[in-house]
Amino acid sequence: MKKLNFNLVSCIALLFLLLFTQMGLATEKPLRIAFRGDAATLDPHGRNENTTFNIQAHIFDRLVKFDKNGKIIMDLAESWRLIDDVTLEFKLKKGIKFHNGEAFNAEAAKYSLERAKTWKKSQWKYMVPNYKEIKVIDDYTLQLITKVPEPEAIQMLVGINMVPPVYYSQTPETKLAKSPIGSGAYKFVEWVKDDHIKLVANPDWHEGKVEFKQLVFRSIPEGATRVAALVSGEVDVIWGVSIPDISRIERNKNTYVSRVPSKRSIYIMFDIHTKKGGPAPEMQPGLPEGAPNPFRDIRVRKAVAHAINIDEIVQYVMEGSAYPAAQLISSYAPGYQPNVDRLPYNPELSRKLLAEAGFPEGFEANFDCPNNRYINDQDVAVAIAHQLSKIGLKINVIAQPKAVFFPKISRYESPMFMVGWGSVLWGPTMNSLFREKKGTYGRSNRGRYYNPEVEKLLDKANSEMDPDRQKKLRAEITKKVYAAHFVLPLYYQENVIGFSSRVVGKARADEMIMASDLKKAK
Amino acid sequence: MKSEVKQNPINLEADGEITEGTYSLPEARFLGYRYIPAERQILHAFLTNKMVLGASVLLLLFILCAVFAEWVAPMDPLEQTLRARLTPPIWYDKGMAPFFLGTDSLGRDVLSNVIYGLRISLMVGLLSVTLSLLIGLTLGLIAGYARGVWESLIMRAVDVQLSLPLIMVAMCFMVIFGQGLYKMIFVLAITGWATYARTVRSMVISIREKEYVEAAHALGIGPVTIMLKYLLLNSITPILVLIAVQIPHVIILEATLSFLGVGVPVTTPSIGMGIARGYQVLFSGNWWASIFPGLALMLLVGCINVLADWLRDALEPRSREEV
Amino acid sequence: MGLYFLRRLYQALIVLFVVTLIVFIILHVSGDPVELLMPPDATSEDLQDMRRTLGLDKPLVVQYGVFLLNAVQGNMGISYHHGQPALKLVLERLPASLELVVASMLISLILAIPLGILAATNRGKLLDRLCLMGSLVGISSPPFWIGIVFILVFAVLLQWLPSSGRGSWMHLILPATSLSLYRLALFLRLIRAGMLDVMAQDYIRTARSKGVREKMVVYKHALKNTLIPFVTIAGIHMGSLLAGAIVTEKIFAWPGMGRLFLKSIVVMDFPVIIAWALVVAVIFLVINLAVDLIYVYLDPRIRNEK
Repeated sequence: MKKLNFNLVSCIALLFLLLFTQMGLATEKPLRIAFRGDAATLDPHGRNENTTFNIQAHIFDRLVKFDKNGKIIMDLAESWRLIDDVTLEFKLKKGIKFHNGEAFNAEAAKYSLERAKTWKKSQWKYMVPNYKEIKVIDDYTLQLITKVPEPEAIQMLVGINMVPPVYYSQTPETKLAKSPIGSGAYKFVEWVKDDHIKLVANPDWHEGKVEFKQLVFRSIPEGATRVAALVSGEVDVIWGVSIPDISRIERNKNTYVSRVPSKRSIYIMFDIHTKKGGPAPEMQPGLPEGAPNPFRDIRVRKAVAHAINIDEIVQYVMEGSAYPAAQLISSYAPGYQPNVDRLPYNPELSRKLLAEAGFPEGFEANFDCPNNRYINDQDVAVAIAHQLSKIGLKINVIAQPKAVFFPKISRYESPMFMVGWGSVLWGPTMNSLFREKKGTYGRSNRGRYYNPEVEKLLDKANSEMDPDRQKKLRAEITKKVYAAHFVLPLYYQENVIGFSSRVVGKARADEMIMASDLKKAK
Repeated sequence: MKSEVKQNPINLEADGEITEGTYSLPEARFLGYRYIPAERQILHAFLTNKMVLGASVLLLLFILCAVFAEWVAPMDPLEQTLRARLTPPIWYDKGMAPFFLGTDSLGRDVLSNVIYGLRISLMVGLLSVTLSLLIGLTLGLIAGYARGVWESLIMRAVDVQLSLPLIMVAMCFMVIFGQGLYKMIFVLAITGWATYARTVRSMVISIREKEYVEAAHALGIGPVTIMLKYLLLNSITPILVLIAVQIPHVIILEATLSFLGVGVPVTTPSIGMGIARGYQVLFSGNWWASIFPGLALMLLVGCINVLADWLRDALEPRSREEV
Repeated sequence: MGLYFLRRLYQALIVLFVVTLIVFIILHVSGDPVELLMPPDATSEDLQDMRRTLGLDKPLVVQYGVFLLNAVQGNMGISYHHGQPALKLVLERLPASLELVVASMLISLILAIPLGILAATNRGKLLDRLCLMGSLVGISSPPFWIGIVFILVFAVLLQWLPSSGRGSWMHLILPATSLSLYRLALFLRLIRAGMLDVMAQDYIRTARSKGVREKMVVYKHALKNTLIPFVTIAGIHMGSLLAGAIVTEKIFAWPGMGRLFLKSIVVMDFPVIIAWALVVAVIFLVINLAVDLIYVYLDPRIRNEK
């Protein structure tokens, strides 16, 4: 027995030794924000993705930025003006220093824009307007001379982080991916991958002092676990509260949620190009072999639109945490056009339209959606298929991980699919969704919509600098493309953020959480 | 006899799997030498039998439910009643008929989903084990009988298969070919064959030197006949045991993959998917949507495990011989 | 012995080579990582640029050649998403995974060995039956579901332990325990059966009849002879646990290799997936080899055969 006891004791001792070495104690209680994922990289022009950009936004500043309500305000720029159709002039704020002591000036801004545009692994190339030249007029004046007029140049620049040129030009890429230096509200301290990123307040930040001196970003992928962490006090702010958890957070006396309509809209797109079922790309594999493609007929697309009861989906599937949409750009964004409406729910009309189109008995088609990308994505698709079954359509929902979904729809292998859209810019949205896939256009046109008239009008709008004419063009084009019912907008997601009551804060429309917005509770 | 299991340590089987149902072969054989003292044998048999009886009845019930799901289940498992979503089980105040075990986040009946899910679980378990058995058996027989180049080729393939993490193979496969029930069965089959091939080979090697096989060979009986008649017949016992322990294993694996979203398609009511869906709402107090499917899965696997234990005892009588 | 070792090593290398080949081919025919890498509003031209930058526009054979050439020099490529060397990303997370695996192995061993012995020495009594029932539950419960139930009970309802992440030893308890249950049950059964088996052997009977004290018989002779074959099984489980911890890591947001793998496969970060597969395969093969060698060393019968 003795020998055994000894073994037992030594094993337990070993276990505890292992455990205690993991213990660490912090002095001041930091602000802990939990996202769904970790930053992919801390290179400011590397990965272009929400969480990564959100975390980087604490370390870096930009020339201009969105405020809490989605309006564009100045950041490191003091002002901007249009000198002529292609020349944009920025006056920069003075006396700003990066965390390593380098000064922010026109040269630094020029370097940053050029890096974002030309570094081969940059994912922000398309967010820097195509420029002929970036001119440094003096230390604090910068001119961006674009190749063609760019009506949305300012909005595009909200994504481009400003970096110190000496450090970023002399450090190897793989080091830049993990040791960022910017001019933002917080300085980088440490990064334990997939667990946390620690930042400390920058006392010299150009917008003044922040309330929380220490900041920790945690990565908790499961929504349910994130809520558990908030409720038990492990973290102070959580991103992306799923709908059934809202009431749980509200019930708990130490936590609350803040909700705001998000910029992200969810829509259905149809394949209106292929003629019948068969192998891609000439034919549509998501339809029964040889069957005609029903979605070529606008009456069928309208029938689908009339058969979707969006209120029921919003109320019961999204539990009220969504807002019916008639277009992709959200209502607070400058690109929003108030002149389009949803088709009302009317299953009788649907059946009539189907019969007129030659499908009185309905038809069968696949309906693809991701199952790990948007809030309740799979449930919404299943619910829609169920609603469509009421007008006699046999819709097979194919929910798949985004790694399968996106390449698949890009290979034109889906007759009908559900995707989300998060851009607030009118021009890029139109150019990406409603133009033929060619050059920089048509990336998200996965149903192959083509309208020569729209192509011409968009060419005109893309370089129209006169605000009034631009406005008219936008209204006209928007009306035209949504009347084709090629894209069927469903709803805007809601951005729901969970807070601990030690923090005072509000959800932002741009899906970001900024520690500098948050205050300590009195 | 005893040294046989230890003679060839390379034979010890191990899979890089993500989930596990019950023993791998060496463990099973390790257990096969269970010593049962004579004076307790009757009591033991009785105790075991009570368990076995219970487990058999329960398993039979599960199988009947699965086979006759259309009649047993109160509802269509995919029918949504959005207005009745997240209804608690019937014994709660808010519970209501016909949702005996409540509904999930889309208002689908949990009980019906569990019943249809059992069908999927059993189907995946039986079919994929049969398939991988066929592959493993063929390759194992060839490797054990032909030896030489074929043997080393097949055994290296076994090594490769075992050091490729199953979850990666399964996820990649589902990514290439898309999700589907039969694809799922297929992928579990092609990742499971290695265990059988290994077992069959070592059985064949130990038997082929026996006199009657050599005699048959000398009589000019063709290799295929010899393989089928003598080698296969003699290695049937450990294979049966292996099947019994592999089925629960595969069932749990399917649930895990479906839980991760790379298993069967959403329109197939699977237990793993039910747990995953229920998990999203679990911490907000709606426990039934993921706890009931989990319990059902555990019971099913438990029953099969009890029977597998019993089968091992019954079919590998060495434990009794030794007494 | 030396020759045997060399042969095994050579076989292991071939296995590794085939593993990379298979993984490489599976990944590269399976989809377009650039589509997932670039933001949805990026232009098609940006996508083409990125494809060229990552070398994905070249023929598969060329890509594999480049990969192999780099891999031999220990360079598994740069992660598409993280911009850092893929092998480094994987190895950085190895300690977290090892911590989880070792802790869970320790929990299973510390509980399984004494319980197994007690069950064996109290055969047929209440304790034995409880152990058997418990172990039946243990081997029949899906680990991912047990993890969820643990979070529900201990983190959400009772709020005793943190639900996710890595940090203090408190964080380790839930994931390690939920990962250990299955092996705890399995080991318990193995130890129990092994003890019963050994105790029926002639030499134990002889020792007994010679009047050696029962405890001495149990702990010195029987336990020793049970543990020798058990070592190999425990070792192999250790190797397979590393890949087996994936789902547990996901549920508990444990920052280990498994989570990196899941994240990478969702976005098709090829270099990271290959690096992960290779690391897992190497560890698996090394443990298997070590276990074989230990076995050969421990069991004189085999040693003499070689």
